[in-house]
Amino acid sequence: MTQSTLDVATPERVAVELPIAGVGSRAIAYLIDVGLLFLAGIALYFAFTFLVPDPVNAVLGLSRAMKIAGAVVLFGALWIHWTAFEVAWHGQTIGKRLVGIRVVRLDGSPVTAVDSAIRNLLRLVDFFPACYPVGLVTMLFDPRHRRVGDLVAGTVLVREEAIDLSRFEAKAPAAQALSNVDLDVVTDFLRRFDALEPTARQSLGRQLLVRLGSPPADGEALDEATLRARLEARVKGA
Amino acid sequence: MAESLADFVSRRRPDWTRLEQLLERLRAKQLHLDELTTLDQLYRRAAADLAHAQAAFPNTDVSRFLNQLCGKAYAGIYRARPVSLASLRHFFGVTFPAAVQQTLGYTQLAASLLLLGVVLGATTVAVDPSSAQRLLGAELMDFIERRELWTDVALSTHTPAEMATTIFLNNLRVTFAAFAAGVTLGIGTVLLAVYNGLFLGAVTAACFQHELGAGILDFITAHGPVELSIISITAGAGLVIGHALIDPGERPRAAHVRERARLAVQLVLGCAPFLVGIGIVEGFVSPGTFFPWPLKAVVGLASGLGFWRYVLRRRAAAGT
Repeated sequence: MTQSTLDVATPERVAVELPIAGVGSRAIAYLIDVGLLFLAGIALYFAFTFLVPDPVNAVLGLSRAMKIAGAVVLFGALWIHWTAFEVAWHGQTIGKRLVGIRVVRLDGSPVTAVDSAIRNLLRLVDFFPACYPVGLVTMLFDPRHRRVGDLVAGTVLVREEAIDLSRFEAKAPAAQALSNVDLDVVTDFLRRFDALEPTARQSLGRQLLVRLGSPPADGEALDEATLRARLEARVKGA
Repeated sequence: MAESLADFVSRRRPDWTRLEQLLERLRAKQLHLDELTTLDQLYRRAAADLAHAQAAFPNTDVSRFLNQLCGKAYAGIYRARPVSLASLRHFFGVTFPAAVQQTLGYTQLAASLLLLGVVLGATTVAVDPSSAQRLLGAELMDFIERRELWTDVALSTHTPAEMATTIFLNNLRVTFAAFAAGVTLGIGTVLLAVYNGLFLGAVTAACFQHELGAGILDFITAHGPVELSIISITAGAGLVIGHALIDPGERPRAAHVRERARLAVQLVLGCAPFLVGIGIVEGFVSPGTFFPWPLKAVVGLASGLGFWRYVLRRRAAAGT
């Protein structure tokens, strides 16, 4: 599968390709942030009950102009919240950090306060009229999965993966016998061994053994431990 | 290719780990000056490693890791200048006045359209007093026919803070509508400018016919000069966009419009704080008789002159 990437031309003449975050991870990050805001809202409500006995009716009793002003202040507070996080955490909010995505400019550099302010102000357009229909449609059509706010601000969300390289470090000459791609595939499989479905584990493990040139005998039943041990033996030479 | 993936990783990984640590410290703003040189060297080496990995080990986790590492380092090293108080000062000290001066022709055109509307509105009502009912609406005319200034009535039922908020939101709506209507090739902006003028002219004429002439002048004088200037500038910003859409010159239309839109947005953003200020004047100073009319006239004259002195300063012209 080819995945969309953000190609950054560095002055060192090396093209950096950053993987672009899809609609799914962006939605999860957003839901986490909104959930936290909701909790903060509840906390704020109860804090207000110390000052005013019935905050909801107190707000409903305000004049029209004050209600509009209140809505403007509320939107301003949310806007500043998104922007402040993205500026202070270099393109991340709490949700984005948990999901592992980050807002960057189109040249890969970190977002500035102005960029962040623009993309979060236009959140209103993306959200219109409710639950992000505008944003979702533009994200589906844009090859870089950007919503309107990102298009105007010139920003894009990239994925940050935690890649542990220790599995590549050769400790025995046996690993040298494997081709580079095989080493990558097998170590990655071993890393994810426990997370896979048992049937997938079996069939993938067998295919890998065939690929490495030591296929299991016909009809030979391999239990999990043996399968793992055999593959590990090929990588570590133990 | 002599070196295997495993050897490559084992040999180079300590440098990458060190680079990650330095980036972490850079992000936390704890980096020392001497570490900066090391960071720079490590980044360049990692970039070379990435180029090697892209050729020798494409589509492995190692090349993905290096991609990410170099992306992070690049972002950390080639950082855009952050927005600060200084850049805010630069915007209001240089950028905004320069933008106003650069688009003065558009502002004048918008002001003429506004004036045209005022003349049209005033003449219409002067010639045919019954037309005021249709132009201004029944509610407003009721007040005028009762010889009451609606602003004073509003003041008796609302606090000045509420008035200021309502007025500010209304001004915001008017100015942004005139600006945003620029995307209709400027047609919408022209219509809105004439319409706003028409309303103002008709109200003034109707007030004069009902012995409220002094009252309306008393109300307008404190905030009018700056408010009308701001409406002219933002409507001018709409005209800038409209003109760019119609006639992009020798460049691709999209590129030209994007550049001119930048200028227009600078105009609107620059006007925003003055809009807030004038809304406060309009809510607190203009209505009622708490402030005598000579004081209101002084406020209006001083704020208007001050505003134009500020945006037309010569230093700003040298800054572009």
